Amino acid sequence: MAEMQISRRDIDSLADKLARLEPELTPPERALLLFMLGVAADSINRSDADEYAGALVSATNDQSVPVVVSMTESVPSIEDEFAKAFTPAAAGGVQLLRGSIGPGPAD
Amino acid sequence: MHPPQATAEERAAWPVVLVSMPFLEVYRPSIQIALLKAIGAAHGFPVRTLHAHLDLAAAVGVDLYQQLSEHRGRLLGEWLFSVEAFGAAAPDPDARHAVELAGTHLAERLVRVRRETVPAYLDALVDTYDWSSVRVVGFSSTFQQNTASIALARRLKRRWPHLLTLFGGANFEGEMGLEYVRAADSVDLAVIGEGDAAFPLLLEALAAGADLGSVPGLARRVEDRVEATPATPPSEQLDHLPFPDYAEYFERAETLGLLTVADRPEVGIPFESARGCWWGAKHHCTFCGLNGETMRFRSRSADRVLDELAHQARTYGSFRFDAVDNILDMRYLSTLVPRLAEYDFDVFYEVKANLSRAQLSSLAQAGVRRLQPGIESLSSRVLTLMRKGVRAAQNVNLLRWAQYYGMHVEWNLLWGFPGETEEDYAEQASIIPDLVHLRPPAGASRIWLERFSPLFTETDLADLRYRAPERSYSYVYPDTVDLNRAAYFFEYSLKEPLPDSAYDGVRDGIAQWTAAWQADQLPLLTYRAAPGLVHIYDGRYPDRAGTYTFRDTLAHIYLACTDRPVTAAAVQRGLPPGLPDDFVEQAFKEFQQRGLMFLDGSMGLALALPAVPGK
Repeated sequence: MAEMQISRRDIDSLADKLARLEPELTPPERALLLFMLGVAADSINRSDADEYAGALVSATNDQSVPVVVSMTESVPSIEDEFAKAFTPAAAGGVQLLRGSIGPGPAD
Repeated sequence: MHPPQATAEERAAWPVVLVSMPFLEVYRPSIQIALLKAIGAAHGFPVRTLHAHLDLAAAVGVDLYQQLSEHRGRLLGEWLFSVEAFGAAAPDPDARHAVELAGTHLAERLVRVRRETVPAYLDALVDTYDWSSVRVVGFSSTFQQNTASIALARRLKRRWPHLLTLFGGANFEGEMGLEYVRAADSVDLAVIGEGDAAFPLLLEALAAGADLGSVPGLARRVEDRVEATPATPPSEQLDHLPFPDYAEYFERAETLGLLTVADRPEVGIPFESARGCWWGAKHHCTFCGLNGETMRFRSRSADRVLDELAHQARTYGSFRFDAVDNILDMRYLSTLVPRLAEYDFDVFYEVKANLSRAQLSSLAQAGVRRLQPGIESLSSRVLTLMRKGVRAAQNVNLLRWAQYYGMHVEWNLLWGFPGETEEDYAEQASIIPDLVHLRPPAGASRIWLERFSPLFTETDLADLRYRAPERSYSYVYPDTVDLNRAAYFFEYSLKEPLPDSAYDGVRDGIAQWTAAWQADQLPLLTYRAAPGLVHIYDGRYPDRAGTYTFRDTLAHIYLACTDRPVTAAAVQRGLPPGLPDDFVEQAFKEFQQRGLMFLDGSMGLALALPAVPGK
């Protein structure tokens, strides 16, 4: 699945909207929202954060501050991703899938 | 007023022999004479075929004969028969051009064939076949069958002056046929254009004693001039034509020891499902020599095609079929092809190169495993100059998926087009090393200028410094033949030609590509994918083999370009927002720099094939 870059402005905007929404929520709704945000934060934290080019979101036990957001370092460049993409075959190693693709029956 | 009708007895009194002379391929019967035989028989005429080219193959050996029949350069086969065709008027009686035409390795042997084997071969044909009751001898002449046909006609008419000789085929299209009728005494009559209608009408007129001037599309000498009647428009309907009768080919090949019954499944039986070219009717490729009348596209019904293939398989025991069509009827992809999948045939078709992966998969399932897609170039700019109507990325994509589905693709790379630049060939040379895991071209060369092609007929298209019949015609035909009217191939020079060195990079690249396909280990470039991940194994060059790993966005970009060429903008639209506007373009360039992607303008095409077969 493709990742999405999240900016500081996105996080501030979402926090503002949730803060405005809070007075209208019933206690169960507020608990549900916090649960959902917690699940989302756990999910993101379980992923390989170094692979992501955006924000980290983490849960906290303090329900008065339901979500704490912090930014990672800058987005890795395409050049960097390509530079580390290649793994040379071991000398004399097994050739992958030899024969699975080949010439047609006329050969 | 209707022309006179012959009675059954009168028709029976006009036996016809239709002859196929060298250099038709050995392991391929002639659809031309086999079809006309069936048409003549359907009209009540006693028509036989004589695949006489087989006798020469038996005489000189199959290996040498095949070298000659597959020869696509100078008119070597025509030269072998020219003395027998034209006698003392033939040029080069002393075979001074043997080395130039055949090369030093073959010259001496071919001089002997010309002086000894060919006369003996013709004598044997005249002596061993019962010509006494034959009234008409017909010759189908295509490619290098012309002088051998004229030579046998000359010998036959010397021995049996009553025989009427009839010629037809591609060598007699348009003014070429008129010139041969004018200049060659042994050519009595020629059908100019399609013979399906003219042939039975001619026999009918002969049997009824009617005026031959009533036969459409017929050329003949009348006193000191050539008269030709207008041809009827090519038939729109092809379903009514009978099945070609190949029985005599198999009998003769087996009698001569060229085939055994056990070989029959491997003989490619020609069949015709369509005539003309639907692409050429709209945009005539600039180098293509199909002429205006024969360009109009017509095809048979799927039922009729299937009936013929089933009949021929049952009759001759072969499962290998070669379509003689210029281009696949795209309607067959939904009509004929799904039903062909129910049979176990091995089928050849010429196709346009813009077929999709799904279409190629369907064709492969149907047993269409030999293709000639007319690729011609790996440069979209040069393809535009040719009016091919495909892009280079489509050509490469066809090579990819045809290979994945186990299809053999026959293709060539051509140059010599007005407007091409050195950069066009430098670019092609630079991308060839990335393509070595795909099947290389069978050849790469300058185009030959063909009569009827736009480069020949449209003077504003080709800015030529000179144009002349290809030189070896003058080694074959006497100077009484006007080669400007008789030749099909022409030499030419552009007013501003590229230096020949402009093509060196392409030549060298293809030589290395071809060598790589002759090695024990074929070059490989394959991928395996999972959500958010692609592994690309690059085994094209053993000293640089390894695996690329791309995740998430880059994996998505690569996999988006595996089925077909896709523009960077289209790929970008499929990605989440927030990425830099040129993200995909940058990724395309990085993939290209590693030889993993082919870029064609704004389009990218992944070059790797799925590692897992059969999808």
